[in-house]
Amino acid sequence: MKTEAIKVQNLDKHFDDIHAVDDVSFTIHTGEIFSLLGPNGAGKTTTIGMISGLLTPDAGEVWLMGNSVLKSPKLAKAALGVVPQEIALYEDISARANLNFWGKMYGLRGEELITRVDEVLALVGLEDRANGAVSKFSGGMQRRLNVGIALLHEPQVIIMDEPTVGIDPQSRRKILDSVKQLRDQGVTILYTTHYMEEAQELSDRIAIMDNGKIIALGSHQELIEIVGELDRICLTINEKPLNVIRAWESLEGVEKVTAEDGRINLFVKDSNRVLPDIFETAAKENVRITGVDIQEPNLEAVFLHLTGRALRD
Amino acid sequence: MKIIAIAIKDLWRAFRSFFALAFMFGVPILMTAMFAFLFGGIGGNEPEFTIPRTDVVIVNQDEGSLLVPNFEVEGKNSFSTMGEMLVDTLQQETFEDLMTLTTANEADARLAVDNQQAGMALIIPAEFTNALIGQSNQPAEIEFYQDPELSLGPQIIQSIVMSVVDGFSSGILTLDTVTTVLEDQGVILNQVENMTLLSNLTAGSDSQQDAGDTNLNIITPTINTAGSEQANPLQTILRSIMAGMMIFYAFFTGTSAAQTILQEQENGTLARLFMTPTPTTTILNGKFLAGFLMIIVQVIVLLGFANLVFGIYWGPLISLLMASIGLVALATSFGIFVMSLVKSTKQAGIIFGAVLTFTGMLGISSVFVMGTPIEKAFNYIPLLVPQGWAMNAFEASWNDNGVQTLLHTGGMLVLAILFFAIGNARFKKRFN
Repeated sequence: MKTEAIKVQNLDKHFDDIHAVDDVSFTIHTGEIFSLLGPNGAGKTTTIGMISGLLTPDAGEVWLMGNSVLKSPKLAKAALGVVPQEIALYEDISARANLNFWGKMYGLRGEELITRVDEVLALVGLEDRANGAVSKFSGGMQRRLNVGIALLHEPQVIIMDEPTVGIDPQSRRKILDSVKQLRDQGVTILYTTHYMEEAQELSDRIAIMDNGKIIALGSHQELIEIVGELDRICLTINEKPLNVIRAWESLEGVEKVTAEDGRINLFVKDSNRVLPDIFETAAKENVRITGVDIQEPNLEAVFLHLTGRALRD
Repeated sequence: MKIIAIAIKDLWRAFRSFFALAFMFGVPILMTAMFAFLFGGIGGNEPEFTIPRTDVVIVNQDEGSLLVPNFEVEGKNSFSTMGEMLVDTLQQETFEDLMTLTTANEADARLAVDNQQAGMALIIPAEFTNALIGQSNQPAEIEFYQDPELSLGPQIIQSIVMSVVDGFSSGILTLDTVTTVLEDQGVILNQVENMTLLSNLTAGSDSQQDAGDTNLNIITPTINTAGSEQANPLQTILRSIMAGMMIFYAFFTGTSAAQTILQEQENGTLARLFMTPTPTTTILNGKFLAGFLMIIVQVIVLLGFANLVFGIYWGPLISLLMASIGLVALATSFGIFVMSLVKSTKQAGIIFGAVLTFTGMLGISSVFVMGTPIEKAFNYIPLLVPQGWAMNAFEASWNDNGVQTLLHTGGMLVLAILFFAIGNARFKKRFN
């Protein structure tokens, strides 16, 4: 039977006038990969800060493996490993010295510490550079060590806050594979990203955040169904779109039309069938189409459907 | 224990930093060594040093007249003025290693000092003799016009001249007393007899010197420092400089150690520490402990180095221990306090540049005013800043003044508790 690894209830956080997290609630079960997807500033990192005990919520409560983060922080944090968004390492000492220190902070000692440090070095592929100063590492190697530290004490729950930002494809692949490997070992993972491909590939369930709120939550398939499995035709045109938008909205097979930054998005049931009508209508309205991009339903489309904005804005 | 692990990690990182080591040990040792090399010969194999010879230009404008012009004492030169007697005294072999004498007019003498061709000009005014023998209302004066960059050599010359002049004054007073007594008994001395007696009286100090019991307080040119607990001018200077530098940079170390809290905050490692099952108090205390241990190492190394290499005597062990503990506690807590007032390492840079330099210089200002007329005022002004309390505690220690050491250490500990309480509360408020 699956138990609750992370339970978040009515979390709320303000920074002066900014309502960073607005009444957020969700539950993550053991062995699940749960992604928080949203643009920069959506409130993902603040939510993670409160779950990991770094920030105190204005309201609400968080439980990790049944322990309240506010009332029993030591017990709750002992079950948790966090991979912060920014690389948080001591660059002037070696990878091994970093792991030794962080291991001690998680309560590891003696033989157990030595063994786990060696295991993690192997896991993140840094055995050969174990005694080298971290400042001499590439960005990808530092990211891998950043992940390794969170795995030292074999936590039951791991939070990864955008762990693949700004790294080479090889290191990114290694991190994504290690996330899947951890899930296979029964570890619960809360993963935040603004890369929808990562969320799509890894997640059992996805919560989409925007402006501090969760606007959609479910499996990938459940979220796609929100937009009704519509194709998205993204057009670039040379004229102001007012008249042509009305014309396109009246076409058969077109469900919805939105305009954004000079680009028009048409949500259609079958793009192959409706595309000739779209071009014909544009010609009648003396509008020249200069660019066409057709996308099958994905999380980007879901976000666009829900907010009217692109995920990467 | 996690607190120890945090402290060791910070110590390890600090001792791997070239800049930290340079400020903790390099600069204080270098400054003291520079003074030692400047004034002594400790660069050689012998544990001895020689006080440098000072070039002195004498301007003898003395126009006064002794009772018998060109009075000649047996075996001595003839003198018409006290100024001539003073110059003759300074030309004795005894002082050859201390000074090189030349004569010039006043303008040339001052110019020579201004151009650093001479270390000092000794200007004897026209009324010098008359003032000494009571023929003038003016007090006896001699002007010492010296190169401000030199301190030790001119200070020694000044002390010798003052001793010689004191000898003249006391001789004249004794002559007055003797002639009065003789007159009461009906014996009247003629001028030549008076002068002979005066000469003998003023020369008394010379003969006493020869006997090894000096009134002139002449400093022996060669001084053995090894294992000596006797203060001598050079050792006094080196000790003050080393203590001043040690205190000045101990406060830098304390502030630098506390600054790692801000550095870790900006690097993200502090946030990561807070996400481990380690209480905020343990994390902060571990970082405070690191600063405390760093300053302990710094103080032990500098005190030991100064004792072994320069033969500096720091006072009784118990007093030295008290002063050192006070310094370590105060420098650590002051660092925590000042860093708790700033939010970023950028702001901390201003603290280093301005606040620590100002308070540090004021605190150890007694080193720079040593031997000057304002020296006494600087017994108290430095107490306005924590560094001054530390300097006074160390001075009391090497002066074997246990009570003063205890009082200043007590003051330091009170300040340390105050600074720590405020700094600690502010940091905890920020991170809780």
